Amino acid sequence: MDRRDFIKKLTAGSAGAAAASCAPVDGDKLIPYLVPPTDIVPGIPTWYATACRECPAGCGVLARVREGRVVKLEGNPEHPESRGALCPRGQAGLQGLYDPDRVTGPLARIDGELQPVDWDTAMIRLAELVGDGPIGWIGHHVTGTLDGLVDELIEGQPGSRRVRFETLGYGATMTAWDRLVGRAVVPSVDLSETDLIVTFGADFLETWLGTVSMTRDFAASRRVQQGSRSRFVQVSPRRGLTGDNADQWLSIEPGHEATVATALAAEVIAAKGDDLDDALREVARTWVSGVDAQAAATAAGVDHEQLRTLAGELVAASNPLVLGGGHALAPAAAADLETAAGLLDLLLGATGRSIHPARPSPLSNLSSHADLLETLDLAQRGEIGVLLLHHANPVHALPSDAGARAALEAVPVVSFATMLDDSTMTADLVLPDHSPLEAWGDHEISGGRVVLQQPAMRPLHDTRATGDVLLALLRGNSNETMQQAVRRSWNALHAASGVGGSANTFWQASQRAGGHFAEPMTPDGDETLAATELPTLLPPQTSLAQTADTLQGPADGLALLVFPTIQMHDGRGANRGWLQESPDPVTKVTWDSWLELHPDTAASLGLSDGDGVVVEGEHGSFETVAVLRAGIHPGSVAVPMGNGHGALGELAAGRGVNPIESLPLVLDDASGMLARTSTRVHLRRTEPRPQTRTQLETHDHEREIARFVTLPATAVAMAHHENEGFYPEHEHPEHRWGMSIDLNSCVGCGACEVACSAENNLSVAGPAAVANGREMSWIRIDRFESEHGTAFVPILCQHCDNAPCETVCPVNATYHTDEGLNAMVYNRCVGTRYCSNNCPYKVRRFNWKAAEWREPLDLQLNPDVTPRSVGVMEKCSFCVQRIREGERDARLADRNLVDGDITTACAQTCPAEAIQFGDMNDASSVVATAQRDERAYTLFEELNTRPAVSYLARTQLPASAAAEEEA
Amino acid sequence: MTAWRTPATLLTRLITTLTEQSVSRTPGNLVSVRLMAALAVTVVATGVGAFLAFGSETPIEQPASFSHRIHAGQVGLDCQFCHTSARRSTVAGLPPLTTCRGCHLEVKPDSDLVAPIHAAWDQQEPIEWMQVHDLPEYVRFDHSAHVNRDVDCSTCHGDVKSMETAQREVTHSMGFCVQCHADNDAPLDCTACHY
Repeated sequence: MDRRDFIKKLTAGSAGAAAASCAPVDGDKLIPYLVPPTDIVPGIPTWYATACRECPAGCGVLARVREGRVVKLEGNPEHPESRGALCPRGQAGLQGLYDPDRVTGPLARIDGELQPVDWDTAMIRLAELVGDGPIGWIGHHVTGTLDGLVDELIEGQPGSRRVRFETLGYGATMTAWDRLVGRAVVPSVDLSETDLIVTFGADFLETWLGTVSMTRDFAASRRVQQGSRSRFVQVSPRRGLTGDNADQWLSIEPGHEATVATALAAEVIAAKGDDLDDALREVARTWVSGVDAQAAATAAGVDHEQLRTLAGELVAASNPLVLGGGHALAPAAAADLETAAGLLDLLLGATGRSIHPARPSPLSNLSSHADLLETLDLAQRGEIGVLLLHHANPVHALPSDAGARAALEAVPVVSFATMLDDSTMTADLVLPDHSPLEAWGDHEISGGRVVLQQPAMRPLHDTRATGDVLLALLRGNSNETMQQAVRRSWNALHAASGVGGSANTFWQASQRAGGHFAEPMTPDGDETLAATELPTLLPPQTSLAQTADTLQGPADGLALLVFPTIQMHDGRGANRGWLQESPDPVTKVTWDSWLELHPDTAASLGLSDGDGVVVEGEHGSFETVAVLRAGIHPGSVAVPMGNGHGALGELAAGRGVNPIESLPLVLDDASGMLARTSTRVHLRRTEPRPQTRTQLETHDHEREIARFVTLPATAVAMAHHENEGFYPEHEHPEHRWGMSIDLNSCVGCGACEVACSAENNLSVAGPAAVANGREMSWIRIDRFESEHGTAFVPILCQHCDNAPCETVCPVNATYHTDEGLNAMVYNRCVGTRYCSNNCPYKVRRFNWKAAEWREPLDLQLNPDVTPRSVGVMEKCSFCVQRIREGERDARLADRNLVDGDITTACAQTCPAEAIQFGDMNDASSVVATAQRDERAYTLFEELNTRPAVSYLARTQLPASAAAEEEA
Repeated sequence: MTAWRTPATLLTRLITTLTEQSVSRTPGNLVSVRLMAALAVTVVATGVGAFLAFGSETPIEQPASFSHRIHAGQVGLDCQFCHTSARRSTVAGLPPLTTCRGCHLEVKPDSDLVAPIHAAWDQQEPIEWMQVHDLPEYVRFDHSAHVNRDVDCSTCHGDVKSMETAQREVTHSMGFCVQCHADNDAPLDCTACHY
């Protein structure tokens, strides 16, 4: 019965008539199956192992399916790279499936407009457009069966071009390793055993290679062992989320990355002296000969002594690793930077130990921007009859000067897409693809291992998997489906794998595991590299001879850095409310783009935090909001990419800016990659704008929210307060659920925030509400800066034993349970908000307005959690529904709960394994052990709230001898 | 975690009690409860027969005749013969058409009362039954927790064995649930049911 029905009944009652139409449940029908599916029990989730396709990494996911709908994604623990975790983008993959703006059926351009057509018409149109002449395929990173089908199509029509395009490509890295070891590859990287990492900007915790596996390995290397942990130094003009986790940041002038890396190599050669292999030393010397280390350091604004110290540390480290610029910043000399970084790895012996060119990532087959531009050009000149886009958005990924839109408008375009993005809007035929959660596929990860992608639910819309469309196009009426094609590939994999048993058993085992994860039998040994494949082609790099300014634009301007963020990546997920509302880990901006600039620079320009600012370049200008922070070189400003779509959907269209559009079209000569640090710009102040930031201050005002300990000591200096409580103590006879959060591991990625949204049916508040401080997140990551460094502190309901919220609730809607939960009973809440006022942690959220889920986003709602309505308070429940589910599973299996049976959504997805959940009454549980750790502390202990959440202090390495001397 | 199998065979045309209960497209029921409480006070105060609004129910009619009295009473079928997921899931489950058909291809196949089953099968359209019991969205009830503790189905569903067409004999008010929990030493914590 809802309100309307009640009023109807009330009316009937008032009229004195019997409420004759009043059945107990108004019109609700029970519709049974005709034939029951064998693997579904209503009310019980079924899990399907499949692949995440939100970025090229190919993590493994388990899709939780309830009554035929995927309601949650979790990492697949058997996947060798992601190992059970997911990043924020992976968690938000679900909103890609249920995106209300998805293309729901084939569209064809009729009278200049994209109009719905049926599949038969669309397929005929496709065959006409493709014809038998040269075609161009511009597609995102695919491997396996689909990759083979595209190749088959391309090879069948001579003169055709194929561009494997990712906005965030690795062309410079491939060029570098081609120069160094004769292999144009993206090496796989393992950070877990390193003890010193130096990067020149590679944002390995955000978008570089596989975010999840890199975060896992990085966190592993940071765990304190024998009083120490790995050290991480970043040398770059801007420190993003990855740089925030560095122990030391050397701020350098943008455009000088390659020369500084080369200077560092020169210092390492000097420090290594006779330890180096003669041949390697000669090659390395040739490379560095063009650079004077002192001059290079000075030009970049770095103290030469610091470089020398860093070189000394690299030589002294037992397992050092140097990473290049990644794609976070792509200076015009990107390939040179990557070469210098790779050379350092060769010099330091990291090759074959932590970085493996002989074990390449499948990303090694990606094309460059030059390839893309050439194909667009061929099409425009009529040498290619049709362009086929496959989840590629060149209009958004290229500067306006590249003329991608004009090229696409000039030629026939077919787009295999799920969303109407800026490029797809130019198409003549749109063939909607399944969501990855609805489709079959196979996806290769490093080491030749393969993830199996299987549908977790029936397609929502009238879509067809691109593989199926290609099969129909290539094979006519043979009726092979993508499922059968994948199965065929899998049989071949079985034959090659050396695994015994039948192909069918192998297939079923792979379906259960989510892929085939055993390493192929004989990979090319890393050992062969050092001896026989030493660099021979290494040319002295001419551009390094001078450290002259390579940036375009006015000499008195500021260098424009364009960087990807962990949430937005290349922008494909910009229409997902969870990602838009998940704050940027560094600036805490939501729902918008921004411009980062140094406070000193801002002062000289008269700019303040939150001011509107127009960025004026020679190739375009745009307006956004200024964010002041010290983590950027004063000579530069930085703008994130990923927003600024003209189309894509209701949430994305017109939101923020796309800075790439305003870049000059400058390609790195050696690699053909677009340089994203290539121009200088002027700033002009406009009116202040409402700030959609969830945190405006980074100082904790000595409240000791983010604590540090200096290694090797680990004990936190705790001022213990022996307060007497006013209320009697609670008893927890059976369980007391608690949490421990290791700030030393937390990198601040925000996966927990999105996982919580998905698990607990959090509503997306929208930019206006966020600007009013009315976001609905149950867990937030506060970021604090101090002289000790940056710390990320996930803050959620602390489930206090002595909770200030409970005692002020006039209706007892929030109270303390026997299991130690601070419970929130929505149907009892009358919305006084006293509890929120009295909560020192500010973790309670009030429903100021009714939550809305645009169809079919409502299908994603977790059926085990009540959606809250307007006027009630809500907050973290420690995932009580997961506790109840764990209890039920244990009860049905007739056993007691054991540690690890129950975990919260945030802890489950954490790639750094920073969050642990369990029973504090069980002294041997992981959480109880962690809470006894010397680094453990609770927030605002002086308030005597006695939280069930405790934190482990972030660690700090002792200042090096050299740094002490300086001081 | 339950079986991980290919969902290719998955019928999304399911729809069970729980789905209907949980996938409301408007989470408006909470507010309506509070609003209703407020309005109810008004109603009583003005002396209008709120009882008429809440208390009288016309019997539920189903689109096809199904006699619980014959199946559960006379023939003596166990409730879980048809409601198969009661012991392992939150929901009891509604029998698929194949369950009805499985017997009635042999038992009284030509009876007029059985005809709707054959018709539904021929048309491949499930029979849409009227729901008898429903709980508000903010209440979680777990059948398995009760069935496995030997709570008899009739405790909450009444003497279904004697009903021709199942009716709501027991009112599932919070008082009803809490009283039983109190009498049987079952959890009285709010989060046992509300989350």
